[in-house]
Amino acid sequence: MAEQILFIIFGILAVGSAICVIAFKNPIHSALALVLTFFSLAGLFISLGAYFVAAVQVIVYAGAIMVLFLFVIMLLNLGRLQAARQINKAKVFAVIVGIILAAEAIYIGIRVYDGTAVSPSQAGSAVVGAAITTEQLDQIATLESTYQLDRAEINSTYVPKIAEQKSTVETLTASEANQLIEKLQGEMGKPDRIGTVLFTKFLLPFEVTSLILLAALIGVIVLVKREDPDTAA
Amino acid sequence: MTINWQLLMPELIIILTFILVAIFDLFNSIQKTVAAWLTIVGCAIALYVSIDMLQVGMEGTEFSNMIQVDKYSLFFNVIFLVSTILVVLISMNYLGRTDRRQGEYYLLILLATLGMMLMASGNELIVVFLGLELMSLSLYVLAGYFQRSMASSEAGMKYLLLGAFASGFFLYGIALIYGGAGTTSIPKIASAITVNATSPLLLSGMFLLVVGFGFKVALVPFHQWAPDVYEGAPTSIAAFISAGPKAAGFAAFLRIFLEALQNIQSEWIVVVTILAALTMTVGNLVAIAQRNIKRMLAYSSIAHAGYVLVGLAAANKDGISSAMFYLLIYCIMNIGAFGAVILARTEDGESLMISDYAGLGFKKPLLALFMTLMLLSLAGFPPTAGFVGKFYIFRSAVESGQIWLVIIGAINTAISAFYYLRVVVAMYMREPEEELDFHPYPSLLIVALTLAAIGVVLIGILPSYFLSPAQISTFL
Repeated sequence: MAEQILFIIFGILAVGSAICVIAFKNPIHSALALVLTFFSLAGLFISLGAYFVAAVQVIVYAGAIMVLFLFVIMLLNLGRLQAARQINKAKVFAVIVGIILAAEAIYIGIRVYDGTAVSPSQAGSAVVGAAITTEQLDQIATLESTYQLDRAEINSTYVPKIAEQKSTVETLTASEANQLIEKLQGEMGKPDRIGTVLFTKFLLPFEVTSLILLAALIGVIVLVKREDPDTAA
Repeated sequence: MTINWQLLMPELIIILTFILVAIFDLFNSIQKTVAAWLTIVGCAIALYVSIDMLQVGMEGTEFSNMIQVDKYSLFFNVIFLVSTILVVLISMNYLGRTDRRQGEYYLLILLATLGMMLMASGNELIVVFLGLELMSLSLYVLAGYFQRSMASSEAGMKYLLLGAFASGFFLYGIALIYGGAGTTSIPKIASAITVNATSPLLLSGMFLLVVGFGFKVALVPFHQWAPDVYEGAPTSIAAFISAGPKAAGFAAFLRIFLEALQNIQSEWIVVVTILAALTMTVGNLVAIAQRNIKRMLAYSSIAHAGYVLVGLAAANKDGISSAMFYLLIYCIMNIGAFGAVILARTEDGESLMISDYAGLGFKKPLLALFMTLMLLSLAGFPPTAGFVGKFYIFRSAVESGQIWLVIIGAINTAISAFYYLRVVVAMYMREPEEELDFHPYPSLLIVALTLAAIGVVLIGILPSYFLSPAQISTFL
């Protein structure tokens, strides 16, 4: 419940400040609203249990990148931007389409929240005392492969914490299995897990990201390099 | 963790070439054409390796199922590498005139090619997205490569803004599909959808993916950027953007929609069919009104994306193989057509108005011959490759019962013949209004155009030799 309240608060903050970023006329105000957006995103990450990502979000985005933004705005000495007053046809059209899309998004949200459409993580709701279901076993297996956990490790460290006498996943009851799943999901916020996953399962995306940064670097050099008439010849 | 590097040979060769070009570019004493030649040699080796792997039938997944190397991805590698080699060949003389250093140009082309290869072999939506970004980011810069030209800078800026917007749609779609299916792995999504039937999250994610891909391959309601970017970008880059990246977009489009989302086919097939009909019709009709040949080719390439989309709307094995076959043909003939535009240079720069081509048939017979061949192929006249490509696409659609789509496609082919032939008529049957002083032919451009012409004619005469590899390479 607390998580949900946090989610709603941070969600409203994130969307509201994101709207402010484009609504403010003064670029400095926009940049500061963007800082607020980044902070509320960090709050969302915390409410999901991803503490490390939240910290990185604050340090990298709200800290380093926003300082650069503000620095550039000050260097370029951007004044208040001229307000575009006239309402043209494209804008009216954009507003109509935007409203339709927003209504659609809200409808989907309600449908998902209603439970008319069951999301896979809620598939195995537990009856007290019942044995572990195959859905839960599947879910644990998925978590294992996602976070590179070891079944032996789960059996020896996580299972006894939930049910003292038990030492294998298969002997857990359904409600205990739900606790285990929650605990394993909480593991993902830890830096060592993120590091392990990043350098094993997600090694290729990680490397490709570095190539993307390289492409951006070359692109910046190409676009800002001045042609020097002396060396060009 | 052991990695089967053999599977990744083409990608590794491209990266190695990238490093070599970057090192050679450091030395001012080395001629700048070395970068271009290295790029061509590297791509040619990667092409050879890809064809070899395709023939051996090397398949497998690597990096914890992140990428799936199979005949499908290898066939697309061939398309990308062929178009990259052709583009580098037509670029060398084109860039040679300006005094800019050229190393970065080829580095970005190599990175874009690598991005395309990742898109075709991505077995995970995250990898597909990263490949897409790697490709797009390089292309944004390449479109604005002539920083002194206002048009080129505008093209780069426009492409960057709209492309980033489209990437946002694409990423949001991936996020919603992850919410609906609980995974981003393409085969796992396919099995998750069977279990859970259709969640509204999946459906909205799917539509956002359609929008994202629609932008990237320029389908009709999302095509506005294409003519402006093609017109403003360097002509060699317009050729590049219109060929490989479009094929890469379709590679991922086909794989995601026919493999991951095949169980909700009934939901997207209507959308795709409507988009295909719209794209063909609007692309061809607007192309008629164009006076600038680059804009005309831009609208023609939009229309061609519509033809390829018919293959997806057919949603069967033949649909995929004919779309792959068509993309191969399309890349060769479109780069050829842009190459012919580069060939028609005057002292004031490029002659881009269609009226400038009047009387070229007798003044510049070779140029007119290349241009005519490429345009006839784009229009789909037998015995060129364009004809067989369209034939197989439409046949696959008939097989899956999309008769209306085929009728619309056939009408569009007739419409397109009008504006393609108008250029041919101008070249052979009109007198030039003013005497334009054309440059002599650059030798490498002629080599590239000859290769493209041989490709277009050869595929047109011996289609089965090129179609059968596509037919055995589908993933269904």
